[in-house]
Amino acid sequence: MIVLEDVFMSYRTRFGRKVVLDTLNIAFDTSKSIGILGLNGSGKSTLLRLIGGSELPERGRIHRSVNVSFPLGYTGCFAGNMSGRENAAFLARVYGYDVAEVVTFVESFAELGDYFDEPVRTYSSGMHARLGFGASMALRFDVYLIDEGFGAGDARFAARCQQTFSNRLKHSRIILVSHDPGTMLTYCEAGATLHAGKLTYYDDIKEAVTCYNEIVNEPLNTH
Amino acid sequence: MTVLDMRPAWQFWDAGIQTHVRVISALVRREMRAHGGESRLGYLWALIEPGLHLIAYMLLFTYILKRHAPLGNNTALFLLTGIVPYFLFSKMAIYVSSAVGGNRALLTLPPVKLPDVIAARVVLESTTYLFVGFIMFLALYLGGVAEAIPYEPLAVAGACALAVAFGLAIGAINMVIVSFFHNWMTIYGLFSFPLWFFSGIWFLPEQIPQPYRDYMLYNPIMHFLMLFRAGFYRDFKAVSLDIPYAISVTALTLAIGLALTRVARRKILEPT
Repeated sequence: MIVLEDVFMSYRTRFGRKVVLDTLNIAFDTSKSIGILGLNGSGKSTLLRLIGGSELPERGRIHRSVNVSFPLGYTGCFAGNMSGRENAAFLARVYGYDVAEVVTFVESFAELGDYFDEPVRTYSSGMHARLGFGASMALRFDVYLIDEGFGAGDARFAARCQQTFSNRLKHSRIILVSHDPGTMLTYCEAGATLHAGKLTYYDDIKEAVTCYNEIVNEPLNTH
Repeated sequence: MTVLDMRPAWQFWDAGIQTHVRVISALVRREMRAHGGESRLGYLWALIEPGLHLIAYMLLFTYILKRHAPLGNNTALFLLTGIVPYFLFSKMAIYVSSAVGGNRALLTLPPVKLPDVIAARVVLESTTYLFVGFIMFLALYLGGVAEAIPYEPLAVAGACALAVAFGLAIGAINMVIVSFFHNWMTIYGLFSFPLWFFSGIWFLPEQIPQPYRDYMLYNPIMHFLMLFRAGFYRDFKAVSLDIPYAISVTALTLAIGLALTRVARRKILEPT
């Protein structure tokens, strides 16, 4: 279970404060994979970072009874001045895994070649995603948090990711954030929509996608 | 809504401490590489810099003041007993304040928390400068200065601990101020210059006329240096040394510093 209690987030913009998450109260049942749908800029990535614990909510609390991964597909977790190898070793140490095992796995999975020993700041976004995906597959989590970047990199890598991932999904669940309903229907059982600061939960992902399509087709609210 | 996990509280504590130990040791390993840039020159510099300060003060003594050290027969030893604890404090105050800037990406990993990043820097920086101090005193001892071995190691250890703790406290306060004013460390640099000069590296408070002596003794660093020297010099009476004052100022500043980082942690972790 992941429980959000009165979670509130807002950002300061030039036009005043913009509320992205308006006092969310929800309990995610983590025996199901959940897809969160929302328009660009609706606060999906923020919500994912809060669920993972990368960021702290402005107000409210988040309780987790499961082992949650760092957000995947987004590249913020790696230190730019460390090589891919050093970053993988760091992750292994932080999560208490055998360093050599994790590094070997990431090296062969990510297929970065010589770049594995170069500083991460020289990586392209595709290489970043390969490293991130490889690292998270080397570690075991109950819930994987995925921010868009499913099937990063070329087709060959994407296929390998999907294969490894569907294997992993026998024991783990995902919370996937996207604005693409197609991926959602493949991987998720339950769903939620995030719109205008409010999160609505649906037991069935199909229902969530239907409601999301209504939001997309809604006429723009002009002031 | 309540927490759903029903394990007894001590299991959470135990798991929590284990995670912190893992994270801090991983950070220390990482910082050891990153400290001082990509090369190993950073560690050499840690040894050279206090050496340069020693030379600068030696020149001041021999050519400008034309005097002997107020304690013992060896000027270098007297200066070193001031420079080593001063560096422990001043380096910590600067290094801790930049702990977040250097680890921003890693702080987005859920298990890596702000106190871990601070603790890693305290461990690494105090180890570095304790080792540097050890090397310098050893060099003096091998160079024939028999007094370069503390006769009361407990006083020396206490002075080092206080200097580190006060450095951490000031570093934590700096960290909070920097999150509000990004140029703060430049201003802090201006403040710390008089500290370097007036904290008693090259003199003893007993040499300062009243009422100025009493004003200067409000500076806790002055007390750290006296305590450090009391551990080396048998004949040093240290009448101005006020250990309870040094401890309480350090503890209070530390409490304020750590409380501020806790209260302002969202602001500190905010991307710049």
